[in-house]
Amino acid sequence: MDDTREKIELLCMAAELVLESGGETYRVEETVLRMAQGFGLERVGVAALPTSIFVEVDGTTRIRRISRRGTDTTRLAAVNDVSRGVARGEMDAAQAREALERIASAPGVPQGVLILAYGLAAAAFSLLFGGSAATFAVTFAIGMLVQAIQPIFSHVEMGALFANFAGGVLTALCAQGVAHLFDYGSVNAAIVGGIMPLLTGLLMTTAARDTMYGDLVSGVARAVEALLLATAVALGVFVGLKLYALIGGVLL
Amino acid sequence: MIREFIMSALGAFGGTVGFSIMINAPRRIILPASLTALLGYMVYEIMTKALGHSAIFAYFLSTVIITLLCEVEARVMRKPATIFLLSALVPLVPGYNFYCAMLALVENNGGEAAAAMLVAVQGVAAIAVGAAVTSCVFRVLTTRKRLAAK
Repeated sequence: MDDTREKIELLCMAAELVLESGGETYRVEETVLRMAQGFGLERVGVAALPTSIFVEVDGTTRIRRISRRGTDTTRLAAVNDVSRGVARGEMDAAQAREALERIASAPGVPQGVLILAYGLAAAAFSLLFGGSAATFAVTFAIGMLVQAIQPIFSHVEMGALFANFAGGVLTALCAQGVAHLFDYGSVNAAIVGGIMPLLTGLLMTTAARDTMYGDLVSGVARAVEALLLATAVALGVFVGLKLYALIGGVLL
Repeated sequence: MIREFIMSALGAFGGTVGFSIMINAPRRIILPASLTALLGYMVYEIMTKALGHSAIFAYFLSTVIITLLCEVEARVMRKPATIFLLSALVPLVPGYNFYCAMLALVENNGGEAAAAMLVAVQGVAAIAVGAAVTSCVFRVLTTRKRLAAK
């Protein structure tokens, strides 16, 4: 029996990691079922939502609440490898635990790298909307600034919403302000580039996939979350532009 | 025109590399995913700017092409297709229309804001549906092949 408990814990751990890293709902359920099969567990029930997981094996149930949701594709790929290893019988419970714990405790991308990556992404995207080399440089700086303030919101309740809002305000204010100091080309390109990395949730690929696979509740929940986050960015830009106009700047 | 295309290509590639690093993409997939993004975005650019197709159709077709390439890359590199898609679709996010809508709102121009927002929402729908349908169809076709081979 203890053996079964240990294995259920592992199923939950894997499911939690997939959900926290931005995996689709069917992927969570697939991961659990695949691992359960490898462990030789029978009569396994699993249901996942973007915010919670229920795993039941032979009368023992585990429920987990997921509060952190982000995207980390290295983790997704790593958990996927573990679940396939278990399914093929190449990994026993102890090895699986070790591997999952290693994945869970692996540090994410360091903030310094994130700042540079955000700068690069924002600056490059500004080129898509008619930016010049000067726009690239300005947007790079704005992007770095936006990412630099993100940790402030990581411990706040509803932090993602505030972070997106603040990102929008900051991008709009900086892009307009710098344009006032010197002409760096397209202000619009700088603002859109600056907010593009925050808007990527809008792709809604995960929401659409969930819906296609019949996970209707997950699909709707994810779509609503994406819209809410994008609205926060849009509102931020709106407030930033308004503020700039109020303090006497001319919108360029 | 050519200059514009070159700038877009650089932008789509660089932007995808930057975003891939942000979501901690495995190092080996960053280059293929970014090249896929570049190609997909070029399809979008050529369709809208050179051939004069509507934005919605261009979003849909380039999403289908990106998704197909991602599914193939995923099979070759033995990684979930999702992790390629999460990176490669990023340049297609209709951020510009979204921003235009906000700008129009600030300038108290509701009609223009609604029009821009409609394009953005249609773009989002075209991308989401395009990616989901393509990968579902791809999955069904490839699984059937495997079953038949057994």
